[in-house]
Amino acid sequence: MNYTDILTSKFEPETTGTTIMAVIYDGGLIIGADSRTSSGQFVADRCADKIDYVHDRIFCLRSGSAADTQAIAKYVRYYIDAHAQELGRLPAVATAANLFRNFLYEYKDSLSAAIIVAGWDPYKGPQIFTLPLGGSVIEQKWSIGGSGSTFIWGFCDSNYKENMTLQEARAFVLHAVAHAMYRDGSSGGIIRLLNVTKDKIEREFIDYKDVPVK
Amino acid sequence: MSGSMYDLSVATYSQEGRIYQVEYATKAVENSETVIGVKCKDGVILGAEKQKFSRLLEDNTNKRIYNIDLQTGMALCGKLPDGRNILQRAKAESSQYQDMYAIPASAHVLSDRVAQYVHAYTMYSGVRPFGSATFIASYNTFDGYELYMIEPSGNKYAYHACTHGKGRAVCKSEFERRNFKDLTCQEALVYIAKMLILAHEEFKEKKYEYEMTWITDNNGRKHQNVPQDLINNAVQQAEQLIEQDQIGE
Repeated sequence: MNYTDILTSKFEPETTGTTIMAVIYDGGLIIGADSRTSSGQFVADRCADKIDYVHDRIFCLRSGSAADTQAIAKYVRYYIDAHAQELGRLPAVATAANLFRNFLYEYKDSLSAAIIVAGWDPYKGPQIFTLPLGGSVIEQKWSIGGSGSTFIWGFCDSNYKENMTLQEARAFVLHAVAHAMYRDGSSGGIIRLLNVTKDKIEREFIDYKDVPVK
Repeated sequence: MSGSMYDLSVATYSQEGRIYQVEYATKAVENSETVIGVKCKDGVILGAEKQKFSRLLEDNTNKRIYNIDLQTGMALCGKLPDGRNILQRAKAESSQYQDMYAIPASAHVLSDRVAQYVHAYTMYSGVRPFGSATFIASYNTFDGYELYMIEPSGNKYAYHACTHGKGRAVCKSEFERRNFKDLTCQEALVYIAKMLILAHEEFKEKKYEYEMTWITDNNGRKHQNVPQDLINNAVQQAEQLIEQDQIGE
């Protein structure tokens, strides 16, 4: 593919063909994502951050069209901010999921977006909501998404346990995402992890050399 | 007290900085039947007196206390049709809020929305202020029991006891005397009835009905009518209490 092709031809829409994952453990949840944003075969961003801030303890993982998911996340961030101001306390994760869902459902014909909403709230603790293409909402204890997730269903089904410790959950997410990146052409780069608990958010960056499967 | 030329429109201030139309609207509420809201140890009670102004009236019609949702109730004081307009708005706000945010609207949010609506009608010359004060009582797991009153001016405050209407002075003095925070809702019913009866001292000969609703730990924390037999007992006991007080005097 030469330089003029990139400049003159119609781009493949920039997608987060991706691997995203969230797992609830005993005391919080771990979020993991790869860092590749591809535009066809061209890697537009090799160190992207697919873990988007929605509120202090609510995050969303984006897959599908990067433009669509970024636009929706921006709206939801704004609505949740206004809502939390009026409410005077932390918003419910279910509220964020509902706001995302309204977009995905009402505009399903125009959008290509699948989102995982994961976070902690003082009402129900850590929660994960999967929002696939059509705009449905499923609450789950663990969720994987993006093109890379297809390669790790077996791994995840075999290795997931309820009430894991933080270390177990972190290792689970790290290895699962690494395995997906190994086999999926649209996933790659570095691994980003996020630990969400009642008291704090901890971000982690796993450099390429430390990715366990390569 | 005459407003001279400054009371013709709600969009006009008087020279002393008053808005007469809003004050007149409040007068309309002050001259109407009494409504009480009280927070007790284990819940909230809303109570209203209703004069049976005609023998042709069916019992228990012309409700003044409604549900906004399962755990939120609204009592209307003043002009009932005006109050019902506000109620419709509150129901719509509550329902749309729940639809959008997937959680029930807390009383402090709902009362804020209602207050903004009521206030909007005090800003334009083409409309008149609502001649109705509304009481919002609710329970939710995070904020517990809440009680708010919104006046025709759009002012809203959270209360642990509030009242409006003809008998408000009587009720307020009863609030001073009795610490409702130490009474359960069941125990407080008698005193609510007593306040509502005393509120219409001058019209003793007329027939009255009493409408009471509550949200308590004992009724699943839902906003429901107090069972009629409990109301009747409370009224009977209240009448005795009043007689004793009068004999004492």
